[in-house]
Amino acid sequence: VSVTPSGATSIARFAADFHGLPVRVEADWPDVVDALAERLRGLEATSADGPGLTFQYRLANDPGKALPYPVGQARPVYETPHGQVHYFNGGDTLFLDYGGFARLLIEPLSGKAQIVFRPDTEALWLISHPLFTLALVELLKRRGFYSIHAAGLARGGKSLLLAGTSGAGKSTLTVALLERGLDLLGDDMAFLRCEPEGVRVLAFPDEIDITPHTLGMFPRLQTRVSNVGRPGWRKLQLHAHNLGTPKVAWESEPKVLVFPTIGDCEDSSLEALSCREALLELAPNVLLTEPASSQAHLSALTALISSSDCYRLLTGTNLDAAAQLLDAALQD
Amino acid sequence: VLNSGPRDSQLRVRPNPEILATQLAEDSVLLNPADGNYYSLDGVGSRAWELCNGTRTLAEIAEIVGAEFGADPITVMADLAELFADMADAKLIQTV
Repeated sequence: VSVTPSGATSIARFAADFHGLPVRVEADWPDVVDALAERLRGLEATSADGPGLTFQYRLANDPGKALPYPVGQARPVYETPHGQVHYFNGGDTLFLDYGGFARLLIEPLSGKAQIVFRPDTEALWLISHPLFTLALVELLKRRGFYSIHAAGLARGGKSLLLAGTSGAGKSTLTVALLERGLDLLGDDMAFLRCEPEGVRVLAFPDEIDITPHTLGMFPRLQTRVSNVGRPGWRKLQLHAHNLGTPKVAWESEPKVLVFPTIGDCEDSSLEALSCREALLELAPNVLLTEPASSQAHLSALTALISSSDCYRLLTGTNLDAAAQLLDAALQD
Repeated sequence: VLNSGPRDSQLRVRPNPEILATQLAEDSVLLNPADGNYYSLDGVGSRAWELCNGTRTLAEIAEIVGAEFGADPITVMADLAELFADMADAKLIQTV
């Protein structure tokens, strides 16, 4: 991370390589760049020129004045806890006012996202995590990378995706499977790319977010978490490189797609899921914005399902056994 | 509302061009960006969706679907009229 003077304000910069695409972050508050550099530590830093994505963060006491609501007709496409994301069809832009203290403008055609926010350390997690992710998935969607809200692991070049919302137990299972020696794709997000030979699953190895409860299940990891008590951070962070030997599986072939829920008995169970049920589960991954890329996203999810064995998993309290069950499905 | 009477049997419908659609095995899933709702169609519904291209009448679609699924075209016509009425309400299709 370098801090360089730019006019009257110091701008901190950081760039990471996402599967050949530079993702650049600029901010007039270095803590933002530090937070994102830490989050994206699993990606290679890059100084490559050329087209990529740019995230510009600016401090403002009044985000409403600094980044006005765009002109034109809009429709809501996503609901956050503190505001709706609106899509403006005319300008092909997305806009979010997050509770008055942060505003986000996504301009997919230019590959740019602007985030204006009030100076508040509590806001740091918000702007470097959910708002960054929201912009990232839409900007990548226009460049042929289609997001899936799922943890991902791989063995022998074949992927196991654990799809589901927060609280489904994705991170706990991810850690349990890493402990069995599987390779990591990501803890909360993976991407799909359609190739002539079929759909491929791409890694997004950012931090693994775990709760103190999950950490209690893996005592040897107690000393390896970061961000303990950091303002605004809701969970504890683990990096793959702190877990011992796991490798990142940068690209893999789809094999198993699982929708986990947390059960209360000891044993876990896998139940086959129909393609239609799986597709209805994954459809909300598509942000309904620009039609062609949204249709391509839906088609990529369809290709994933048709290339995968799909299951529901009721995760039991014996995590070793749950991980063994999933590992066996992957090797089947 | 469509019904299976002789007048509506000559209606032609086509997909709303805004709708996102995907087919998996025999089933389809449709997403309406305008309201964020999504729908699933079984094999018969998927085939009807595929056939409603704005040039075929409801009766013609019913005849094709009936032949392919081994069902009585009159019964299929009644079912499709109901399905298309629901789809028109959900703005998934438009009359031509």
